[in-house]
Parts: sequence; C-alpha cells; structure tokens
Amino acid sequence: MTAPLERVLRILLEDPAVPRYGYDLMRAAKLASGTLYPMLARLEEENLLTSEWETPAEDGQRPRKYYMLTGEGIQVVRQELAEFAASRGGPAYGTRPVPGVTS
Amino acid sequence: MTGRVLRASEWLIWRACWGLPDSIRDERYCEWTAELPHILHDSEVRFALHRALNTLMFAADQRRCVRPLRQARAASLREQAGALAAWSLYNLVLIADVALVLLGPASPFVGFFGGVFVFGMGGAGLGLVFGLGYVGCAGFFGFVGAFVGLFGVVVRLEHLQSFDLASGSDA
Repeated sequence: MTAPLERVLRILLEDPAVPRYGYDLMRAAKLASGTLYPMLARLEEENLLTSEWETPAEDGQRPRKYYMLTGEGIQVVRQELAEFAASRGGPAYGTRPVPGVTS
Repeated sequence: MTGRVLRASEWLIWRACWGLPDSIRDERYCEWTAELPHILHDSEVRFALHRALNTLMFAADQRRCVRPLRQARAASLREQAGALAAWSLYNLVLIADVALVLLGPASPFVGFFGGVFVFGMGGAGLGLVFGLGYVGCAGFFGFVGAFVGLFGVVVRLEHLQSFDLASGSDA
C-alpha cells in the first residue's frame, strides 16, 4: 500500500457515512488530481468504493460526484490499514478498543 | 477573470478527455468540470490568484488520470486488430482452398494431373480447416496448391504461345 492510498483510505474511513467529493479528498489528503482520481477509479473497480451523482442544484451548478466506502470496502479497508500499520510497527487504525466495550 | 479561468480549465479537461472511450468520456468530463467552480471559489484559499492557479492545476493534471485509460483502450484496440487479422487470414485460407477445389479440375491450363493435384491440395486444406482446425497447415496446402496451379498456368501459356495455329504443331 502506498502512502497516498493510505491517506485517502484513512480519510474515507474517518466517517464512512459522509459522502466525499473529489476536491475534498484532494485537499484532505494533499494529493494532486492526477494521483487521486486513478486511485478512486481503481477502488471503485474493486467494489470498495461507490460513487453517486448529487441531485442537480437549482442555481444551475453542475451536480458533483461523491464517493463513499461500500460495506465490504469498510471491512477490507479496516483490515488493510490494520495490517499496514502492523507491518510498520505503528498503531492499527480502526482497531482500537472502544472504552467500556469488551470484545 | 474567473470566467476565463473556468473556460480555460474546462478546455484543459476536454482536451484530457479527448481519446477516451465514449462510455466514460462524458462522465469524466462532467465530474471534473463540476469541481472547477468549487475550487475557484474555495473559501479556505485566501488569494484569488492562488484559487485560479489551483483550478488550472486541477484541470491540467487530469491528463495523468486518463493516461492509464488510454493505454487500456490502445491495448484493447491492438487485441481487436490481432483478432481481425487472424479472422481475415482464416477466411483467406478458406477461400483459397475452396477456389482450388473448384477450379482445379475445371481449369484447362494445368492439365489432368495438375488439376487433380490442385484439387487434392485444396481438399486437404479444407479438411484441415474444418476437420482439425489447423489453419496454418491448411494455408500451407493452399499455398502449395496455388503455386502448382500457377506454375501449370505459366507452363501451359508458354506452350500455347509456341503453338503454330496454321500448321497445328509446336513452333
């Protein structure tokens, strides 16, 4: 897993229910469009990501396309990030125990 | 200035999308151009010039996005061309063999045995194509049959040229 991909996945996993636009992801991950969009296309091909067009606004602005992790994507990404973090010896993302909950 | 920047950025994206497969070109163009006003009016970027530059950079960098898609399309086209060439060769071999089978015995130029040989070659070629699916071998038979047939035609034409019509004998 490359560092840019890791950044994008972490952002998408922060709140999987929130739709993310391409430019928002670019800004958050500090990536150029030429790096981000092929990555999104690949994730979408692998069914980890889903995209939707927003409903057209009345002010005539073009509808934007937003991206969200799929149910399968959330699981796979959590696992991948955990493995990636473990391989680097860092803390695993999304695997921290929630206080008060015992597994 | 914003209008010009938007138009220039849209043109850059349009240029980047040029050559993409039809199925995805419009979608990519719409997706990327829809982001332009949001980049150009991004309230988190203070200076207008910076925002304009970001917009142009966003549009210009889309060339990198379409490169793998174009390469995939080129590979697909090469594959199609290869399949078409193979299909054409197959049909060429088939037509040649059928022609040899039909014209071999009917041709007055190659003589009886030549005709039988050409017919045999064409028949063997067709048998290989339909019976065993060996297009390459059938092509070889077709080629040999055609070569012998042509050789027979040339020999017979030379013979006819040297034939003296008045006396009815060879000159």
